[in-house]
Amino acid sequence: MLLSYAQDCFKIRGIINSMKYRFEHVNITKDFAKSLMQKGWVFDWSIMPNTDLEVINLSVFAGSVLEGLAYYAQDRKELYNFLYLLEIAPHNRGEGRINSDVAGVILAYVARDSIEAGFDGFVVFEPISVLRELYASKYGAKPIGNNRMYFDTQGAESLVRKYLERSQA
Amino acid sequence: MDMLAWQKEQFSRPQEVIDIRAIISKQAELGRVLTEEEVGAFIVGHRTAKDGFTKLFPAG
Repeated sequence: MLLSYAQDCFKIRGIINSMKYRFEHVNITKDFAKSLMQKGWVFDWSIMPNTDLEVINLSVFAGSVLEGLAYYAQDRKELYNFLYLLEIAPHNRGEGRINSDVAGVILAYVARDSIEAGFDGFVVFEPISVLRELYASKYGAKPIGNNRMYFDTQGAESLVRKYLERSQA
Repeated sequence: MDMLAWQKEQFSRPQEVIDIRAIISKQAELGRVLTEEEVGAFIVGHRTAKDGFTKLFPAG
């Protein structure tokens, strides 16, 4: 088995344009990361961020299809979630993409996690330079000033309203 | 842009911890986004280095 699933059964699902997303925490093995790259994923998901914080993997599925991945951590001292890495599946990139809201769903999940952790929705991240404008215009991220961006409470709530919906699952 | 190289560079260095709320407060006070040097003053571990901080923000 390439993925070992955590026991969490999430009650939060993203519903966008009738597409239902579910979230899982998985441990990504080197073999699985390699297979992702062979399928066109860009990042090496077997490499972990250099941090003392507990890094959480977030996997987003539509049905059984992996739609996106993220690494983030809760910084309980500084009271924000730090988003290390986010990638959407190759079939969700470019002009022929199938789902265009996966990144938003991931951001909303991390923002909601920040709200529930008592961080007021704060999420900090350092996007690739070419995507900074997109994060600002499409998702409402604000610049900090040293290549980093953030979502505050208002931004987090906006993401959650737009991309997530509670279910009784 | 070599995204994989970017990831490896990002993940190879320790992530600096910043005081995001203090940065936002200072941005609001100044009415602009902070410079890289100014943000450095809010990196946890640096922010107690008062020489650098007070030089950048004499009023505190």
